[in-house]
Amino acid sequence: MNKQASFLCDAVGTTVTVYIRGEIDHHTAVSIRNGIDGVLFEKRPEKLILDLSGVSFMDSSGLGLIMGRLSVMKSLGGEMTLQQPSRETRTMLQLAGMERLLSIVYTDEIHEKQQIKAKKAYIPPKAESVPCRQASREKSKTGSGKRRTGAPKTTA
Amino acid sequence: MSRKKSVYNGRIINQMQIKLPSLSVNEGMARATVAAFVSQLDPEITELADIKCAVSEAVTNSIVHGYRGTEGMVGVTVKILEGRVVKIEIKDKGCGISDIRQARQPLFTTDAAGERSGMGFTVMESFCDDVRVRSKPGQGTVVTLYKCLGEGPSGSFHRREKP
Repeated sequence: MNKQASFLCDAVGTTVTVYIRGEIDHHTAVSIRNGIDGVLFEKRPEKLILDLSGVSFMDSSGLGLIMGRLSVMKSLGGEMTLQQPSRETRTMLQLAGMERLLSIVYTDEIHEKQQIKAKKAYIPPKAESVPCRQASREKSKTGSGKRRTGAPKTTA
Repeated sequence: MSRKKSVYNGRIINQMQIKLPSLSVNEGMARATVAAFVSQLDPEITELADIKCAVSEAVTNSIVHGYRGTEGMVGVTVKILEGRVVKIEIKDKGCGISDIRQARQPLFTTDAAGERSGMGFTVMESFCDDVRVRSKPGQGTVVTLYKCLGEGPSGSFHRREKP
């Protein structure tokens, strides 16, 4: 029921990528924080990437965790990015206005799908039926729509 | 922001109560239990996520701030009211809040060293339809969250009827 959070650190050159999985709350944030800070102070990277794609739940403790790591990276003279925040974490990040504090990189399919969905939303559903109905209305108005037996007799 | 008060005083259809010691490991337990109970209403996934998040904030507040350095019990009561309204009460007998208005301000926290974001009440307010706080210093705090669920799928037992 209570999925423990886990994380995996991947250091390449001067960049450290941390993949967090599970639920981030006040309880799990402590171990994640200690783990990440241990790596940061050991490697002293120029860039920290937090990957949130595997996070299934996050409350304001997660915001505290992110802001805390941001200040650690600033004290080390580095920068920090969030990568692929999962759907569950996005509302929380938006609520806190995180995109103003640091860059968030979306490279996943969900974001692309959402964007496609947003684009599609402008096209009304049953796109073909709408002009047809309009056409039939126009026909009935002009009196040329006699092919349809059930056409309203507005012209009569 | 809030609906008519009468919506929150509807008939109780079902209810549940749990009491947990103020251990941080119980935060996940509390929100999972509430979510499991509320799922009988067939809520949307986003609605359930909102409820989980708000409960997590309230329970965390009780543990981190109410019982700071001490131990006590946190009570969670969930009531399903008529019209698909969920009422959740989170109660502690901790230190209480001296200035509720200040505590509800975004980014306000009394625990700066613990990396708290100070967004607890803000999250509750934005994820719920109404948040009420009763507290007295030294006597504990009761946070009441109200969440009005959408219409629900057709055929659902607790489907909200259209006016």
